[in-house]
Amino acid sequence: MKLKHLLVSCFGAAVGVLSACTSEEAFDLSGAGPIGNITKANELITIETGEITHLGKDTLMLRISGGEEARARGIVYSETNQEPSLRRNAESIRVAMLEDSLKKTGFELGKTYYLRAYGMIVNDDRTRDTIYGEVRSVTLHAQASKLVTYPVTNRVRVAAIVLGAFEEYGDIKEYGAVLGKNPNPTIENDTKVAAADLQAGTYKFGVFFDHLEPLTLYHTRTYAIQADGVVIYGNDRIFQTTRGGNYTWSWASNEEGARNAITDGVSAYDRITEAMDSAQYYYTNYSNLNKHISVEYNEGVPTADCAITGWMRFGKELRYQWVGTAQHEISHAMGVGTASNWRTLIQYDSGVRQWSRPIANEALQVMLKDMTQVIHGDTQHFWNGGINQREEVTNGTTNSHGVTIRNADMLKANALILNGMREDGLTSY
Amino acid sequence: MRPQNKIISLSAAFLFATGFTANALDNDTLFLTPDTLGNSFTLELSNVQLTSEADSFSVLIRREYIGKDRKTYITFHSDKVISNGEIIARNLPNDGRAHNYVFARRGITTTIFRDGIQFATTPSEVLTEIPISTSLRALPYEYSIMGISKLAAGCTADTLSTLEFIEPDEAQGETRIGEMLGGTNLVTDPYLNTGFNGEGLNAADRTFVTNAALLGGWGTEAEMSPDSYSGPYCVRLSGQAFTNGNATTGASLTIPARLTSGTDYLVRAMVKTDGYEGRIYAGTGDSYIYIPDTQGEWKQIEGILTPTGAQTYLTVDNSDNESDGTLYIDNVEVYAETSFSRFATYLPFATLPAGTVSKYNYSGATAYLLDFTLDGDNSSQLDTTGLNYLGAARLTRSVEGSVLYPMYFPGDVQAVQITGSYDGRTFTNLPGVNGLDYIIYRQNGEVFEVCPTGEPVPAGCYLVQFVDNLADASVSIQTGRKKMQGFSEKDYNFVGNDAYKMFTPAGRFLRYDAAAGCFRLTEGEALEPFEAYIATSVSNPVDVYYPPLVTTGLQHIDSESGARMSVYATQGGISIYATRAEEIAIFRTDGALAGTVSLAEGENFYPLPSGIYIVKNTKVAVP
Repeated sequence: MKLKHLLVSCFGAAVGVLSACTSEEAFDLSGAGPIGNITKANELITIETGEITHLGKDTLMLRISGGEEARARGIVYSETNQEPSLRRNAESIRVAMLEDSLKKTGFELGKTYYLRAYGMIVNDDRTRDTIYGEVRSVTLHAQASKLVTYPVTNRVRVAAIVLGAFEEYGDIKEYGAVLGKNPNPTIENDTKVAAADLQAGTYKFGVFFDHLEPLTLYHTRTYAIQADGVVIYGNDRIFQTTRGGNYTWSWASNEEGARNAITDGVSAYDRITEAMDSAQYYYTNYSNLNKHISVEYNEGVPTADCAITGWMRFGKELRYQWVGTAQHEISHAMGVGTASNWRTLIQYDSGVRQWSRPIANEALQVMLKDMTQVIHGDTQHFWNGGINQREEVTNGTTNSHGVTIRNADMLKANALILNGMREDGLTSY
Repeated sequence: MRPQNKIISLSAAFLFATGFTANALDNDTLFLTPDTLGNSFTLELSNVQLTSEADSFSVLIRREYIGKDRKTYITFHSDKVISNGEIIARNLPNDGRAHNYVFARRGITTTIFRDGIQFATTPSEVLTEIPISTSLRALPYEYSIMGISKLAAGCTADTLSTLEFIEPDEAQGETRIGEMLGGTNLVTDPYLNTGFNGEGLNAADRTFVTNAALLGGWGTEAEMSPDSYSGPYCVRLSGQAFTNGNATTGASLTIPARLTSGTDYLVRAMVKTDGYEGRIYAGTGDSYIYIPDTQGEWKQIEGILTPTGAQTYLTVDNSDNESDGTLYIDNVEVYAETSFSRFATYLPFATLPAGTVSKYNYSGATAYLLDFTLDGDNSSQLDTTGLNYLGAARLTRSVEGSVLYPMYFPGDVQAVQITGSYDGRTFTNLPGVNGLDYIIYRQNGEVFEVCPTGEPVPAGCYLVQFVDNLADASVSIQTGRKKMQGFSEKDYNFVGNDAYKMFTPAGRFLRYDAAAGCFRLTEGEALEPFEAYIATSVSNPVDVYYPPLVTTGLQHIDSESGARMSVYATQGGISIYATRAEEIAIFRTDGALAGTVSLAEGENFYPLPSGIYIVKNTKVAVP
């Protein structure tokens, strides 16, 4: 199959060639007029197809040269016609070009295209001709991808967040991270978690590994499954799950009052104890934070509150005798809204009011499966993930992709975000 | 010249030293009357052994002075010693052997040495009027042994000096002093022979409690053990695993040594443990030298301690309250760092700050342990033309997570310690664990395999990788006495820079490029101290070498049937644990089939020659 159409180079015997050009190729435009010769002012008009370059994904760089005398010029291409032309029914697409080069998208990976330059000539006698350059064929191969695994910075007692990015992004079917106890874990032999979202611009993604063994060394690396089925990996990293948070609590005041406050057969003592024990579980296993909380039952408190000293008060409202409230209030003891550098880190005074460091933001992004997430905040609270309302957990928090995260996953997210804030430099409490 | 003493009476059961004059009041007492006994004197009673545990014997030392009778009366039972009505030693074990005693007076106290070791001190002498009951008692000086019938044959008595305090040389009973470093050992009782003072919590019931003992600590489960590394005794401690619900109440040991705040000290000891993991520290224990489980072997441990306050003793105890077992400890040494001085010939250890090249102009000087620091791009270096370097080394450096460091250990790795703040805690000299805080890969033919946790890491070259948790932490790796590097005739040799300063190998070699994760061919580059590299004699060496990392440990794979399997290499083959019976193929690295195994449910062994094999995309290295 001829890939280069000799006629269109227009070298050699000009007239004969041109005649051949004229007779064989013509404008395919409605109302274009009769076919005439393409000699203008006795000068040979030529056009050449320049180098066609695949820039990646669906983009080609189109180049032409010559044919400046043409009324219009550009590239015509076809998937099926090996001699694309402007003729009707030629199964070809015309791309007009004002310059000698043009970046064009819309091509499909894995397909072969036939392209050649064209020029529309209007002769002195007002007849019209079309001249073509050499046919070139281009196959858009799936570009080789390249991955990097980032340092594991948010690791806790039974879990870790692993992030990575595409340094080069090709045709990818699936991507995520893999984890195991041996060097260079694989998707076949080890634990694989697919990522849900890719960050625009940075091509960053992350996954959450849960139910890990405490104080254990793990290997992890990013992976991607290309469209051709080939699996590629990022660099292997090692990290250690931690001892966990040293978080404890005790009844400090009016425990008897809590025992006597019985609603629906359950005492406030039991509800609050369950809430605090549950919060202890999440902060011990999903953070490395250390704090002792002293609990007071105080019916004069409308909701619940907690000072940075760790003195927490629960009121009589059942809505707030709940693990989410406990975690929310504990976060204040851990520094949310109370640490000396809170306003700086949340960029409050500048008006930005978003968390300025990466680790906590990444925790939110990964746990909400949405890489567009950014922690917002004010002088006292943050969101998403701050459990400012019970419904954030029970009904769940919906990300920008319409996926809702709820219940234990939101409680874990809260602890991991707090841990990330600490890693980001939230001062001691 | 020995003073002349007269033997007053002679018992057929005894052999005497010459020159004694003895005078017996009864047949069960041996009297010796030296011509004089000054304020200082030294008397000896050798080869003493009671014939029955229920018996006792006594020693009377009497001096006349200005009309008064000064008496020291000491009664020896099998389990205690009483002097002038006061128990000066108790809970003595019946070791079934004879002992040699020396009674040496100086000042107002008579010190009793047993077998050359300080044993007890007597209270002040009792003053009485000179008795006139017998002519014997009218003599001014007396050294009597009462109850001689209770002593086994072969006992002798002698006067070593009537005017001088002569302290026995404890070191004569020690057989391995040559293994200890020279220099001023700050430990008062380095051979751990003197017994316990019994002053700590629940320590009164320890065995071998004396009023002259120097060793202390709390708890009952400490004893003077004859199973020593050298000399008559060492200390034996039992573990305190109360947090894991096991047995013992445990004990600690304190060893007197005066230490100054902020001063570096080299601390060494011989230890033998069986399940016990302990620590030696001065002060609060935040910084300590780790005592590993030596699995019943005597091992030398050493490290650097820098107390944060003035201390008067070292403490030895269980490191985590979980490990259970027994610790034997002996021959403890503490040396202060000696700053460089042109007049010093021996340095226990010397610290070389990062970025310095030590120069020492006093030829012939020697240091035992050198403390190197790699701080970012700056490394400390040693100019060995001026200072001989004998043995142990410590390299302290900051690390990045997950980077492979090619490292040369000049001696066997003794300790890895981590200092830094991460994961919500601050650690100072936390003992690092291979397989938890870092991974050591050793070369095995074509691959680098993981060194299993707990296995010794002998001198040599390795790839070391630290967990991401330790990013920006400081890691100290201490190695023991250095050993000569071995070189083979292979085309490529993984070797180390043992010049202890920047070193440029001749010709081409492969140096590790951490960013690229490979060894690259290079020439003319200077290597850091302790950096390992690949030397080559090949005329056309490879440009790049990516070290394959494998594990010899347990690996989990999925079989074709989807059932889980566990695979690990062992001597002579591969062990596969399968949850169900099925067939699995084993391949060599060149793709050839090495064998097909019909697995039974449970453990299966397939013999293979040494080499690298692939089982379901998993590499295993058969040694």
